[in-house]
Amino acid sequence: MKNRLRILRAERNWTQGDLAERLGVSRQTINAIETEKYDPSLPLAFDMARLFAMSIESIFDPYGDPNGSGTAKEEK
Amino acid sequence: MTAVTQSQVKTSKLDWMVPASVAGFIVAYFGARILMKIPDLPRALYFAAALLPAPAFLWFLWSMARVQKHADELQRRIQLEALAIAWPLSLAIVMTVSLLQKAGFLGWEPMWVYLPSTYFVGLIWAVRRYQ
Repeated sequence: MKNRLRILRAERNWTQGDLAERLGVSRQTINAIETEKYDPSLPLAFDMARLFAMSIESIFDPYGDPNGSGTAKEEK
Repeated sequence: MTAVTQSQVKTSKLDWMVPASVAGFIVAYFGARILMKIPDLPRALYFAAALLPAPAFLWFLWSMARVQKHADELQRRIQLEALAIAWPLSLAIVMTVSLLQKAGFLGWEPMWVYLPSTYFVGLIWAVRRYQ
């Protein structure tokens, strides 16, 4: 599944380890999600959305549209 | 967040337990085999020697369960996929070796020795899949 995790993490100057610690998962898990080799569970996706103050569909694009997830807006 | 961090700390503390328990089991197993080769010991001592590796194996089971408990979702999935590969591979090895023994091409061999290797084959495959 396409996602914007790497971009969102880079915007905050977080390393994969920083994000992993904030989400309570391993760095390997973050790397696998960023490289689109692993799709997170719904609870983890919700945790990510909460952490970035965005909706899940703003972070993940299930239809794999390379431009589709670039229109995300941060929730106020 | 605090609970999660504590969980990760627990996991890192448990990391050494799995290899330590495996090492303990191997030492106990070969120790038991050496003891059982000594002739003319009381039968109770042979019995005790045969059970010598059991505590180390129970420690191994306990440490693996603890590691799994504190693993995250991808780590659990990797373990599941490793076992999904190991199980049919183990079955294929056991069946093939059994048939070769029955056909007289192989003598008696402790087949369990081959089985952990199938888990490691599965584990390496599953880890590489998500790298």
